[in-house]
Amino acid sequence: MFDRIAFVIGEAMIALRRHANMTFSSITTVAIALYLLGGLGFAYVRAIAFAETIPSKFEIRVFLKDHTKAADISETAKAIRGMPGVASVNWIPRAKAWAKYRNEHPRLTQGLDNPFPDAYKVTLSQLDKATAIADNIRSLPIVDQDPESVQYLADEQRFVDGIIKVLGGLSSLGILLLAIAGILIFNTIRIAIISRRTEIRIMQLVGASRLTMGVPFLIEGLLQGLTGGFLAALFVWASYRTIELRLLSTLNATWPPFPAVNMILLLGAVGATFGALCSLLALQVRHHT
Amino acid sequence: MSAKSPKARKVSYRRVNSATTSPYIVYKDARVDYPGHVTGLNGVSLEIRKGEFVFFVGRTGAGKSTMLKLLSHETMTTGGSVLLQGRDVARIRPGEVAHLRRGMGIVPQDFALLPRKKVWENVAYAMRAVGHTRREVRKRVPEILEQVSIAHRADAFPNELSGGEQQRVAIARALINNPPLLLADEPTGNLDPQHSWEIMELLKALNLKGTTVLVASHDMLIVHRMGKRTVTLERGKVTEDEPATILTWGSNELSSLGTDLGVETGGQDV
Repeated sequence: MFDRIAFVIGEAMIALRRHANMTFSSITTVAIALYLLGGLGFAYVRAIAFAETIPSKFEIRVFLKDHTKAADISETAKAIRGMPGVASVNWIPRAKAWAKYRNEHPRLTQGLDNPFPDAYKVTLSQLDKATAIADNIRSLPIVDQDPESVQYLADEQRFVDGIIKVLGGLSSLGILLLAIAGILIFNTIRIAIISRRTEIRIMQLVGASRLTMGVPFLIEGLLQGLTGGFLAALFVWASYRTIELRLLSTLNATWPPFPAVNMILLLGAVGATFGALCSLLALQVRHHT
Repeated sequence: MSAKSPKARKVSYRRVNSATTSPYIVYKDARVDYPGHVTGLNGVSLEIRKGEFVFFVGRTGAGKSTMLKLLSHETMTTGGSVLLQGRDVARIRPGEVAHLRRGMGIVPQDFALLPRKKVWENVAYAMRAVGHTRREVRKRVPEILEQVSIAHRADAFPNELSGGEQQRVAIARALINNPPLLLADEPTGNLDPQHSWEIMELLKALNLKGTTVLVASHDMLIVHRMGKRTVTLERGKVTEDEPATILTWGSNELSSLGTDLGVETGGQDV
């Protein structure tokens, strides 16, 4: 049994060495395709999830001074609502904000007093007037004078939007590249079959089973896909880290840690399955011709 | 794998003896039509007994190779049937073809040797491909090479061998499964007369040990000199079936003498 396994693996290795250039092309194309499709797809989902945690680009958060009276809050809300480019103004009472936060982070907030001020959520109807509206709101008397009290994250939003667009576009390109990778693996196996026709003929003459003849090619495709998958996981990690560092420097925010093991297993398995399927297809074509 | 135990030998003799009561190979009105309305065989009926040495002769396209390919399941009958030990070869399922071929040795005209492997590696490769262990390969390969008198060139590469030596290696490879049936398609087609005769002597020696040998050949000089049963084909039909003119002690005769002679009479059934 072990002898037979050693034989078929040895045959696959010989084929991989014999077509080193084609093998290299197949592996790198699989790696790039899986990187774009799988890896960046993953980053795309993460980026969208992150974008949802920061205020919308049509939104301004305004924090008010402590102990502001309800009447003043109401009056100021009316004033803001009257500004050109403002769609709506919602008051977020400090007690409500605190209750929500405590609900989300019960351990973190245990034993603490409410540090939140009252706030407005201002929704914009015209994005180009956002800067002027933010400046006008800052000048209102009940608004906290801290520069951070009026939060308008237009630049940050544009940055995140840009990332999402790029990731989405590249992920789509990955589908095309995956198809190209499939064709490359298919061709590599076809060439391997042709170059090993004497070996195959000998095996047929002496009565080797179809499994013994076919498995080396399956292993060859599987190894190409697997290696491509591992490389893709490495590329994804590098990209993830780069984006994480950019986010850290631009937004002072962090992403969840990179799921390295899961990513290696996932992309490795997808690559291996893809490679084996392409080989199987090439073997089927050979069988019918 | 090589030296059979007395018990195994008895079983082998019994198989040989039982096979002699009925034809080993039967072509029953066998027809083969290739695509494009090309006729390979046009109703061939023929019986071959175990231990026979039979030449198929005729012009190119007469159907000599087709006769062999029908047995190895490389070609299928489009009419009639071909029976090997009573079993219709065409009805063998694709998954059983490998098993069928392990029961026969096939010697191709072009040797089909691996140029980057040495003589012993060529034989070893074939053995490994059919599932023999490394230990079996180490034990059996020298014996097979000795059997076909090529052991002295075991470490040579095919391009360092003469045509006759390369054919010996191809025959050695065909013997790895210890087959009771040997099919040789133009085994002397690429050889000069001297080497051709050496190869025929080798096939004759294998036949003497009990192997049924079927040879497709157009080398009439060699065929006549061998004096074996000769089936002449023309346009897919048997036009002449000439019995052997030189009688030799074949397996059937040897087997009837029992084990005292100590002669190996062939291997497994197919």
